[in-house]
Amino acid sequence: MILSIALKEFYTNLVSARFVIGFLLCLLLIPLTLVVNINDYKSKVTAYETQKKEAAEKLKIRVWSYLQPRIVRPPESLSILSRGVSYQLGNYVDLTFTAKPFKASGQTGTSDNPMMGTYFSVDFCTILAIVLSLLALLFTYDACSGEREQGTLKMLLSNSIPRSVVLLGKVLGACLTLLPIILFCYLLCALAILISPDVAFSADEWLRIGLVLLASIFFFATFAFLGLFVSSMFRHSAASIIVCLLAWVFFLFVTPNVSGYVADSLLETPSEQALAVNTNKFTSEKWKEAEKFRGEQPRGAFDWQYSRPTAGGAVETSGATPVFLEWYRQGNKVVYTHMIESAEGRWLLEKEFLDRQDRQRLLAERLSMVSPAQVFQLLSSSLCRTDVESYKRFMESTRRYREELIQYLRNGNLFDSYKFFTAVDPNVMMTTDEYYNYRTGGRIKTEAEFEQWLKDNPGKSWNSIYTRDRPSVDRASLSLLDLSDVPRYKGVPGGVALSLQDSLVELAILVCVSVMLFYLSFIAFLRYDVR
Amino acid sequence: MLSNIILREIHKHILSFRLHLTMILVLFLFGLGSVAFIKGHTADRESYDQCYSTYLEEERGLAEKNLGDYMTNVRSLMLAPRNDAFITDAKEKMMPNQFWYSGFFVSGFDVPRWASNDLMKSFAELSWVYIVSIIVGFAVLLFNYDLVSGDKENGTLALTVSYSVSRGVLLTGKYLSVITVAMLVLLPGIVLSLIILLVSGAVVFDWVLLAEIAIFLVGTALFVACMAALGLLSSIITTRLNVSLLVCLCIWLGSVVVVPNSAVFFTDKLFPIESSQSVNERISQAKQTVDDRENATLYALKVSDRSWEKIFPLIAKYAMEGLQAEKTIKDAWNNSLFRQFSGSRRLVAISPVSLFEQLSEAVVGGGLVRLRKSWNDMNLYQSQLLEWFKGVDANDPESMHIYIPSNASSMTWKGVNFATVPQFQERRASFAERLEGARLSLALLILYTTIAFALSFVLFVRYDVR
Repeated sequence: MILSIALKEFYTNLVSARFVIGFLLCLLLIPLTLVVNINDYKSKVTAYETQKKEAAEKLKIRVWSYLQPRIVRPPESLSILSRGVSYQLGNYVDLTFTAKPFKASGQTGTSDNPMMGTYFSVDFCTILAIVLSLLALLFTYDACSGEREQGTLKMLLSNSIPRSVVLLGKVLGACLTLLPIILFCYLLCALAILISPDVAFSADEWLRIGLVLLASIFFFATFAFLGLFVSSMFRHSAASIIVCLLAWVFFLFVTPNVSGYVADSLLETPSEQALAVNTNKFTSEKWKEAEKFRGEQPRGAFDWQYSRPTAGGAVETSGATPVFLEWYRQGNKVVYTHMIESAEGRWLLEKEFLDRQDRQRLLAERLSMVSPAQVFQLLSSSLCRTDVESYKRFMESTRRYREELIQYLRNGNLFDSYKFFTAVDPNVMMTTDEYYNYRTGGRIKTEAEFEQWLKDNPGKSWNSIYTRDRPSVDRASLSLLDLSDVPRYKGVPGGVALSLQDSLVELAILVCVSVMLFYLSFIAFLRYDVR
Repeated sequence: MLSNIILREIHKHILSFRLHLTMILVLFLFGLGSVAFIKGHTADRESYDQCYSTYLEEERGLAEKNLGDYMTNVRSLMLAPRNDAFITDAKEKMMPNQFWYSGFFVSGFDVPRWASNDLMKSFAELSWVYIVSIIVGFAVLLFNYDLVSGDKENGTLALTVSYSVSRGVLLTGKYLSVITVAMLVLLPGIVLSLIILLVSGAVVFDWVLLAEIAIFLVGTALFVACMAALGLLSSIITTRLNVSLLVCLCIWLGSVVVVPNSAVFFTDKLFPIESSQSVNERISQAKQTVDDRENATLYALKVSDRSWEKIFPLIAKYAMEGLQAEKTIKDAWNNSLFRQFSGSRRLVAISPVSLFEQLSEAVVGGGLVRLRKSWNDMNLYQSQLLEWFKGVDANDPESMHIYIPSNASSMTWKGVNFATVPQFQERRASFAERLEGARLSLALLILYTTIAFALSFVLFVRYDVR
């Protein structure tokens, strides 16, 4: 009996205008969205290739202090389905000794034009959520109220079938109508992925798509039951459609923005600019402290390239006296130990900031969970690894990798080696006297002689005496370090199980809400006045 | 007769369930939006004031210590949060509103990364324009879709037409009533919002703001009229109620979701710009060429000629050449950014919702209008600053009067009283300039409304009421 009711519903739906228009809507919107998103993904891949090249270039190093690799996060191919926050956050991290990775850098958004950031882009899951929920509501809003108005409901119930069977039949009918549309959308998506030469999916990714499909069925069910419930609460289909559509606009368009806006206004986050000023001040003060540990520069220590470490602690000199190199080498261990320790202090400031941002984000997400559509979005972005958790996992993995690298340098006693900051052999470097001799072409033989000359010729400076430029070693000719036994970055841990674990709450909510709505519509229908 | 029809229709609407439901939703959103705005705006204002005073302090420190350093220092300046952002924020948090400049060159603009929490998915602010364009726009279609086809289905249309009322009057009456009702739904929300804002004292109300609100209301009426005309058209084209509703939904989805969300894609295809990477490469190449020439000239100098008096003019010459090369490329690139964005604005002009957003943005003088004006003003300010500096520098006998954009040692190194240094002041766009920005959207909105209404008029006259 259920089946025949379902089939009847199915056939009526199939010939209805809403089916045709809904189908056409999918046929138009889904390919458009897919093309846009595959295009965006392609540009992300191009950017990734460039960054990877830069990262490889950055690792052609001659000294260990430059062991500050750039870690590039590959673009997530599943972002075609759900963009999540992947287009808002950077995708690479430059490791340094003096700071733990705080935020990923790199171009955000999809356009080179910063003004274009004012347009939002929708992904497959968003369009699916919009169209599916609309269709689900359109197919169910008049299930009871509409049939009551036509008078067919009375006739149907005068037969010896229980109301529950009628309701189940209607549900089944709506499912029969909409499931093909859902499957059709996913088929289009799979087709686009298979056809596109720029995207290749692994088995794991197909499995994730399967899970998103499952989630979208539950999502669709939620809205179908919502429509059914509203339909059995109202006597006129004109009223139930209005409620359904306003609910639709509220859930799909109002909640995501309201939740973000309210969370943004209620929970203040301190300005990132102020944080950057503070942390940079912190690090430069720590550098000053650290440099004091080296002690007084001994006589004869001279660095004619005036090499200074970068804020991240990378330093290389290829022009200094042996005395300088020895003095610098001895100081390095304690200086870098101090700086690595101070990175923890800096991290405390940054972590507090990140935690506050994360709290704000969580509040926005929890508020938005009022809407099943947002629950579905969160679920799909987590399955597609484009959610904040995946980003946080990436950042955590870069922090761990930084520790590994530091441990490697420590184990090899590399911090207090010459190779840490110079690739030249200290024994072949000029002494101070040789330096003066060289630059003046033999006119001045020693440092003492130069000081005497300065006293004898007041008002004159170095400019009027030197004849040759500073001695320099061609850095390109120096040999590169062999990095073969340096630990490699292992990537972000992540399997379907982990994503499922993240999204369990959302999935549970979706299932619970749909079951609850079904139960409510069941009760409402049993008590429905068919006259 | 017309007034009778309007009154009857309004009466019908006022009693309807959908009006009450929409009104509750609109009131709720206006209330929530205003409360959240006050909280957010106060926080934004505080953090901006803090940033600005840090900026001023740094400026003062530099200017009073060494004017040469002050001129060569490259710094950024942010625009203040707008007082009238509750009408529309014009997505300014996602727009560039930070300028990079030194006394010699305004190098560019960007979106300050700290403007918003990047872990949170970007969202539209709950401003008046948002509520009107999304909720009221939707509600107008809901009020409208059964205006003709609904009356036809329940048979009242045939009865009404049988009276001695011309069909034109009937249609106009129905149309005007929908607009009136939509404005009636909106007004309590706006009043509520204004009361909340007034009581909180977070916003200073002046004549300009009041004028903006008034013009905004006119713009809203126009937008409502446009949506109502589209709804009316769909109600007449289709013979069945359900189909009319679906057509209305498609129109709404198209103008709210499809058009704005595919703008980036189509803009990139239709108005391509050079990639920032290639621009940067070109700049560094151009600078490298100048540098190479500079090095060649400097190294060719005899040792006896290596005095600062001889070297500085050379350095200055090449530095200016390098700056000019960079400026030419950067200016062209920045102009192309503006061109591309304006192009995208023309693309999304198919959607009445986008048009209304652009119109309101121009009314409050925010968004693109503001960016463009401030950008021009910033360039103007920089040239004034340079002129002023040259005047001060000329009075310093110890200065060499040689201007090198990246090296302060050949200019005056004395400090000045900071109060005498010209400062950049953002000037709000005048109403004439705003009108200039609103021209296209205004014209198109009127055009769409006229076409849709004229079409419905013609079709309704020929409508089969049976």
